[in-house]
Amino acid sequence: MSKSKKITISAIFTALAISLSIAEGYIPFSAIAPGVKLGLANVVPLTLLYVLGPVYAVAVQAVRIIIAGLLRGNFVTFLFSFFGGMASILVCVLIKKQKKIQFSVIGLSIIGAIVHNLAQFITALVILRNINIFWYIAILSVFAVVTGILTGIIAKYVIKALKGYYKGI
Amino acid sequence: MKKADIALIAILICVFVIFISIYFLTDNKDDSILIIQQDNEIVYRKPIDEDNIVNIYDDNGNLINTVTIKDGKAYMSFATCPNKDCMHMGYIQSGSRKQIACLPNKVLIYLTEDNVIVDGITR
Repeated sequence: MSKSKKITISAIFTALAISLSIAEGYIPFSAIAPGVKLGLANVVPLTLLYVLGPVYAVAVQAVRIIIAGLLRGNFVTFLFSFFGGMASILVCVLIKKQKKIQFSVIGLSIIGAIVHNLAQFITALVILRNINIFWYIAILSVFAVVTGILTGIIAKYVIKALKGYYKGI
Repeated sequence: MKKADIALIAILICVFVIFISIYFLTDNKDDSILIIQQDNEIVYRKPIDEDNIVNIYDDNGNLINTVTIKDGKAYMSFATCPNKDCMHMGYIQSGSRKQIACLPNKVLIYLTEDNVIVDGITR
């Protein structure tokens, strides 16, 4: 696949990721537990990690977070999305790169969700300077495993379909 | 799913079981002082039995959060943040370890022990 094709595909997927970020804001997951999110937008960088490679995955994630951040929320919520999202995709890239322990897409998705939570916990710790929030993040991490499995399954099928589709290009 | 995935999920479940055990085995019934923290500063510190309505303002003087304290329970009754997660978090009362955070507004409400004079902020 040529570089310009890769960039074009990345742009389309960035638009998709931004739409998913915005759309997810309207689904009331907070009814389950406040702060819980499915993380549908994270399917996109995870998929690109397999289809186009790490550079495109990280770039799409960064652009997605910045644009979605401008459209929604305030500066503090942007910091949470940024640190959570970037830590999540960077750790996924590193885990996929090492060859000792091989995870499937679902495993990588779970790791991504957990790292997302941990990075947000550290961000909250720096902002609020209060260790009490640890317990809440521990509860949210249980949900992170569930949402990580769900988004991992979605990513698995998207990757499968895309790999077959892009083979011809 | 691969073997490593199953191992990962198993390890995570073990970690959660340990956390949940610690959470329920260590009680803090003595916590009866309600603290409202904004931007790392304690703005309210009174017994939770005292009914009150506390308004929290930002630097520009705009109302950002309202904490209602009634019958020994405290909850976020108003918030300007986009998701209103803090308003959905229910109430806190003596004996529960819960805290209510409104992260976009940097507001946190939690309970602490009666006899502790120093603030609950960790550095």
